[in-house]
Amino acid sequence: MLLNKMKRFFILAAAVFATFSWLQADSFSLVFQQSGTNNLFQNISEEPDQISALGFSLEKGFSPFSIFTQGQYSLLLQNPGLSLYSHDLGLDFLHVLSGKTALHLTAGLRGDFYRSDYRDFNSISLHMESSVKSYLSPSSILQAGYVLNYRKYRLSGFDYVSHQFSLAVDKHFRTQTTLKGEVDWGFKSFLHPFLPQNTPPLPEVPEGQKGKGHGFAHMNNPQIFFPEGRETLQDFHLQVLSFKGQVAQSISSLIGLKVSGLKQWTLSGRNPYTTVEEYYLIENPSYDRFSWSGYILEALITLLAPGDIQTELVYSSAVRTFPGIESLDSEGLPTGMDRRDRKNQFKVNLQKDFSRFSIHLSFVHIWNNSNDPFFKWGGNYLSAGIQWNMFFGK
Amino acid sequence: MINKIFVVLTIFTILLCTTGFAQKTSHFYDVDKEIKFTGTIQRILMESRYEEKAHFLILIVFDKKSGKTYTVEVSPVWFFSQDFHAGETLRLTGSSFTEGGVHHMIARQIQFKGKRLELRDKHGFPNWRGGQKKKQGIKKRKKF
Repeated sequence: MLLNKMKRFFILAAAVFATFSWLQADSFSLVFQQSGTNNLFQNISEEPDQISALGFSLEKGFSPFSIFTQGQYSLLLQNPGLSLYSHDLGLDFLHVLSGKTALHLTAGLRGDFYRSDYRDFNSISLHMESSVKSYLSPSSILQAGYVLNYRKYRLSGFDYVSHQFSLAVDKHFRTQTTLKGEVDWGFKSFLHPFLPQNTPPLPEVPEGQKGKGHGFAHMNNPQIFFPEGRETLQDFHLQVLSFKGQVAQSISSLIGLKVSGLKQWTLSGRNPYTTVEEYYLIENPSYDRFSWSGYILEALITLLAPGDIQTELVYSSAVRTFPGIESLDSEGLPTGMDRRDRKNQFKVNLQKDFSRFSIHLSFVHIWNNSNDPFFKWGGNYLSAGIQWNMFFGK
Repeated sequence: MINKIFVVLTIFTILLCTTGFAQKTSHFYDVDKEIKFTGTIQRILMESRYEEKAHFLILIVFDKKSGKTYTVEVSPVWFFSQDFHAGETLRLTGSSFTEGGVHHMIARQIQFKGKRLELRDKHGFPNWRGGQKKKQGIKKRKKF
């Protein structure tokens, strides 16, 4: 089985390389990243794991178009069933409307393919994005954008289509201060958030695992995300609106500061699932930007350290409520309240660029408090990687 | 045995394809005419610079020390998710030349707000990748 999958991987990689060689790709890059954590599933169970990821990307320009493709294979050490291969293929279009305004369009296909334990989350998605950027004045930029996303999963209960509109304007002042405001509206429609009729029942919870709520065997049993008895098509959607304000201050060419605040409301709808879970570097369809309401505050310092090491220090604090997701107590019984999390996060990013490659190192410490004891957790995340770039265009 | 042959053939195909990438291309960046200066952005433009290639981001930058104004060629427009504004201070490194009385620079490196953007390697070959480029590892879409 594994060899067959490796064969398919090599066929795909060889076909991609051959195609872009024929097209004489403009750029090519390889990335290797090694990550480790003491809490992969980001809950009270604190399950450690390591993830090794190898990826490539290719691009060819035919002005005003550009085609791109990239792929990445991620291998998990402790949970190999969650290993996956993902691939993007797309087309970009750029049109300069004037010396100060440009239009950018992109359309693409993406596939995510997991190994056995997570195969119900295999998905294909189609996304289209358009954005306009215009200088209202030499010190002020207006940006508007739209994103359409259609995603189909192997387990059709996760299928959705979403729309997002955004509008942002900023202004730079002589004090080297930049103010920016942004408004985003999004609508996500869950196409059929129920299980197919032939779905097998959930297995019995073994002794010693009871009381752990929905953390048990979630990766092997995606049925756990769906309420029992829901067989008819109901209108499940989420409509969100957010405002973001940002202040950036340049201290010198070596130091920059940025403080931002975002407030998001759920205008209508609720999550159709029984739980919302977010994993480290592994996507879970129950969690995304539509699934919560609340606010995020963030402070960021960027500086160019000795040795030309680009350094970022980030602290953020977020309060999120998940509409339609009921919090459970330590016995797994509903409390009658929507789940509410407060997540504090501290991150350090280091990057050193060389002539043809760059290396990076990242450390994140997170502590999450929740009215659902299963989601009271802490975690450390360490990641190191190297990226090698080549350019072949004229 | 068949599987081993298959793997060898596939690796050979990949190597065959990648040898095509080893060809070097000519470039207009002159490392012997490289200069550095700190300047203030006066204007931001998007212009066509090379035939059949994407429009380039062009910055008009004033060097207070020398009193010169440079037309700085940065990169194809869509490479940058960075927003430049008039009045911002940059530390620039690049190849300079004068044409028709106008001072030009092909930028290799831009330093500002604690960030350093490596546009080209030390030989002047571009480092950028186009489109709304996708970070490896954790995929995020950046606005251009």
